[in-house]
Amino acid sequence: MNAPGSEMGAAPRPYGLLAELTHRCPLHCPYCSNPLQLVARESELPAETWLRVLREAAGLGVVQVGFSGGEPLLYPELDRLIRAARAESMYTNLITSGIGLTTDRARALRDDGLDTVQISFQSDEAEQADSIAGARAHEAKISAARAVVDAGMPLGVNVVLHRQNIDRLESIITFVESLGAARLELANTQFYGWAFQNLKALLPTPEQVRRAETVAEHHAARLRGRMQIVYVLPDYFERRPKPCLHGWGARSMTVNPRGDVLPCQAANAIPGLTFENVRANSLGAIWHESEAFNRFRGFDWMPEPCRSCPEREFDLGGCRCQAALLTGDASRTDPVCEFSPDRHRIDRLLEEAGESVPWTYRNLTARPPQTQT
Amino acid sequence: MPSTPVTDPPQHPTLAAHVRLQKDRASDAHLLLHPEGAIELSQTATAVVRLCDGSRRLSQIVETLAGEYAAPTDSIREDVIDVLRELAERGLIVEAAP
Repeated sequence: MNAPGSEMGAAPRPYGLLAELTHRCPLHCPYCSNPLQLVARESELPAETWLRVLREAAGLGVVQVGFSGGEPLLYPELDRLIRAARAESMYTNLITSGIGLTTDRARALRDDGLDTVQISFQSDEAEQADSIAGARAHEAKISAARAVVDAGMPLGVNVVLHRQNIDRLESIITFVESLGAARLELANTQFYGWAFQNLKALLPTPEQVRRAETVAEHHAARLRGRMQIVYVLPDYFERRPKPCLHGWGARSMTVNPRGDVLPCQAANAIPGLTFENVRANSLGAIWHESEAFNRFRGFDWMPEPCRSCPEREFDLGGCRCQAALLTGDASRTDPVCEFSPDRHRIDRLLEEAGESVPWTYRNLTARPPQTQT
Repeated sequence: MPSTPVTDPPQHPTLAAHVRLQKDRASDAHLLLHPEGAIELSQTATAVVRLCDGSRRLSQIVETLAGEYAAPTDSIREDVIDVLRELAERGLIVEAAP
């Protein structure tokens, strides 16, 4: 039994589609991973186009679709898209803030064929959670979580960890357990998009990360068989890069609210890369032939030290967006790697972690804070 | 995280509530779909998983497959236990409610 798509040399077939229906969102999280330039409501794809995208995705082999955003519940014809995805035998996941997910809505979406719901929480404690989200949201999220469980759908909870909430991990886990979640993803902040702009305010100290890892391990063992805990390591604290996306253009793609098709949801961070749009091209043509998807496929694009490194079979070259953000050149070795000539850039960020810096909330009018590199 | 200890396979195995077994449209394989992804099943795993509907105990699954494949029960049992253990560790197969 293998993770599909792991055999090298096979023609790539996508398994997953992230459908970002809208960038509109009731929350203003300082770690938002969406690009700095958000898509306006007027530019969002109409449902008819999404229906075509779903059909084309299924034809390419996609079996998983995540409806995401922003807040996908704000997209007017979400229910139609869910029904269409299920008609194509796809597994459907709603990735939501929970705002607007009443008991009636949850049951209706379940009846449309929604398989599972993932709700984000910012903390276990209302005051801190609302302060991180920049909105009064925590109580509404609790109601949404109950609505999902009540509708009989498996509830996933995602908590993004950062310097302000990571020390509360123990009570965060207990809180999510009390919600009846089937799965808890503890995702250390990934520094892309808005999060990268707020890096100094969000990056935890190495001591915080070590403590959190111990807590997560303990509770993962305690809750085995009842609630699955997935602890996503903060890769700045690793010595080797993550096999980002299981390879560029290898298994999944993102369609953003405007219809641009991206190999990765953060790929807007890469200067000079242009993305083709589903309004003008079929998903299959974009997946197979577009410059953006072929740019970092396989191993041929790799510079040294990656090119001759045996580790490339495992890390697949790490993360291109991270290389672009930290070095200005997306084709350089992922700076997380201890063999990267740019590793010192991450070490410097880690040395500075712990300074008290305020963050900037994400909203439609805020300008990004000063860039960190 | 450290590797988890080897656990006993479910004695009365059934698919977890959020998991779907489905024939792949793009290949001959069967897939297990779950919230985090898709797992492509081997032929052996497919043969085991399609019997995990809560109506059979592990021992009955072994008997059924031994009959279908005319293979020694011991080696079938080993295969079944391997498949169930791996899928149970991922939370995809669970113990059926009594």
